[in-house]
Amino acid sequence: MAAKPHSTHGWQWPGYRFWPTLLIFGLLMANGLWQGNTAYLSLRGDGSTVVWGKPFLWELTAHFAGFLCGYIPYFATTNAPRPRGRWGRFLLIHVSAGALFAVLVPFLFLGMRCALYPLLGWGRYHYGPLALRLPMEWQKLLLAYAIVCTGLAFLFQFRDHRDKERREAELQVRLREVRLQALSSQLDPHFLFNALNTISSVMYENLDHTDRLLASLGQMLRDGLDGGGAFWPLARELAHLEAFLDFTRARFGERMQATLRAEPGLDTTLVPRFCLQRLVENALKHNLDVRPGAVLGIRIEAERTGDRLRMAVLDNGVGFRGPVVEEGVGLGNLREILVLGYGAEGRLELGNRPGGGGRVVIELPMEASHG
Amino acid sequence: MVEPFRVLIIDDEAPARAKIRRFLAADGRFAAAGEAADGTEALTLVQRLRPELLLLDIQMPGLTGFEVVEAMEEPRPQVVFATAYDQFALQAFEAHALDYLLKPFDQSRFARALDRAWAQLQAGRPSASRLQAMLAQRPLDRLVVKQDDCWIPLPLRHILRISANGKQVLIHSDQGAFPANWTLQELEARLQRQGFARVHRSEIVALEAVARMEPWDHSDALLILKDGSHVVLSRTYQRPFLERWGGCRS
Repeated sequence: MAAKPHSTHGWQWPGYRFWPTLLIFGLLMANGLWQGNTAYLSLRGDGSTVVWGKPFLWELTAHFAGFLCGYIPYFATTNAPRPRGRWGRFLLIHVSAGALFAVLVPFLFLGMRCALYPLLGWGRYHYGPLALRLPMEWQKLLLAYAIVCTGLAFLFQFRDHRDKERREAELQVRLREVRLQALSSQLDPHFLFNALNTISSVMYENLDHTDRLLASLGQMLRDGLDGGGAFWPLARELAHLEAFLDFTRARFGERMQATLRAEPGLDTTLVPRFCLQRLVENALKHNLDVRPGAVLGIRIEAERTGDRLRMAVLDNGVGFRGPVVEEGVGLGNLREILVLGYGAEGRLELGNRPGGGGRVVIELPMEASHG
Repeated sequence: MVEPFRVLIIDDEAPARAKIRRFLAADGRFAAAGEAADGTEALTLVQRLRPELLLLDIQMPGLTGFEVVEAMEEPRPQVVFATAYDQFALQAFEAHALDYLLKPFDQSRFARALDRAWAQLQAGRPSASRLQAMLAQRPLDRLVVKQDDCWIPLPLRHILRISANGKQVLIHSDQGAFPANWTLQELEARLQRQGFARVHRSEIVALEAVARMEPWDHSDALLILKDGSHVVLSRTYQRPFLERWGGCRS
């Protein structure tokens, strides 16, 4: 029934929708037939010899008139569903609308009956004394008006509540997507400009190497720009990591050594985009400066443990020191991505290796990509 | 013949250092005195080689270029900063008319930077005060301290208090105590807006680290810090401290 209301001068004019309107028409006509039958049997029971069609006509015209005037309670309830502290306005609207309804409905059905009686060969229609008839109609119509308005008010309240919940749920989903996107897909501008600088430096020494670095940068730009979601197959993360390692090797030379070992058969398993890159970046950031002259070894592993994927980045650096483990922006983002993506199922653990050095482990439920 | 100015090249990337070395070799007014790949190495070499000019990368693992300059003793050499991407740095350089190189840079841009540095070195280092002013305005989230032979950045949230004993200033953190390069007055000015307060002629505390307060003699009070150490809150500093400490705890 309720369609988008539109507003002029503070009034809302609700529109009709086809199926709800038809349903209400059907229900009113059915009620008309039932009431007509009741009246007919009741009159016959009182000994009256009324023609059987007449009580049906009375009730059907009354209900049809009510249907035609249905816009009055619909309009009034749309504009004043509840008093909301403004009793004056609420009562003014509903008293006026109720009075209009109670006057207009008898006017319409009397007109219909006067027109139909001669056509059906029943002669002129006699309504009876108005002083008795009209109060009888009014007490029925005002009660009907009140019931319809109350029903509509509850319906509107339910609908508003449901719409609000739906909007909130949609907003949550949207926010989660935006947050994941922001956290995962951007290529760090620091990295981009540093990469350009690396290329501009290597270029003077080795053209082949420069070419390889440009190819790797191309790959990383594509990975950062492809607009996909926050998760992608492990195979792509590993390819991305290789490109990233090309740059770190060119930048840091003999000061670091990275090895990569992934169990076969995990290529399609979904992982957070750039997760391994973040872990390697983190290991570089915290270890390269601290022990002058030493070579930083980084080992990256991916393996299956039961129905979970376990990825680890191990280094031989200083490890995580202090009572509280420092979590930089990179690791903090990754943790948030894991929570958003996997809830309690995803784990990020920072710790130290028994022989010294740091160890960061990500554990995820195995989930293969379908595309 | 005039002695060339000696230059220290500081960048965490070997190829970037090689490129600067190559560009530098084309200019007879300067000579590469050494190279450093990180902040600690840079500070050691500055002490040993006493270069006149630093070509200094800002983003490096460990200490940043700013922290390297701050940890240096006076007189500081002339500095040309290089950065790949750093909004704050660019604003700061522009505001203080300091020269900088945006990576990647080409040889002509590099030569222009050398020209400016040369002019300033000839004129007797007029950029030192601008450098100082720029560093003093830099938002601070960690202090550089020396541990064994390494300089390490110490995040402010690890610092409990800073005490002075004569000329010696000590930074007490949950990872031990470190001697500082600054005076207590300098640190007070730098840290005031970062949740630290002066509580005594020779003490600064982190507001967050103060667990409770007890009365003491001479209308002074005693602050008990979270690590159990005791610091006197002298009457002079009582009112401003209580205002901020109360605000911090509520």
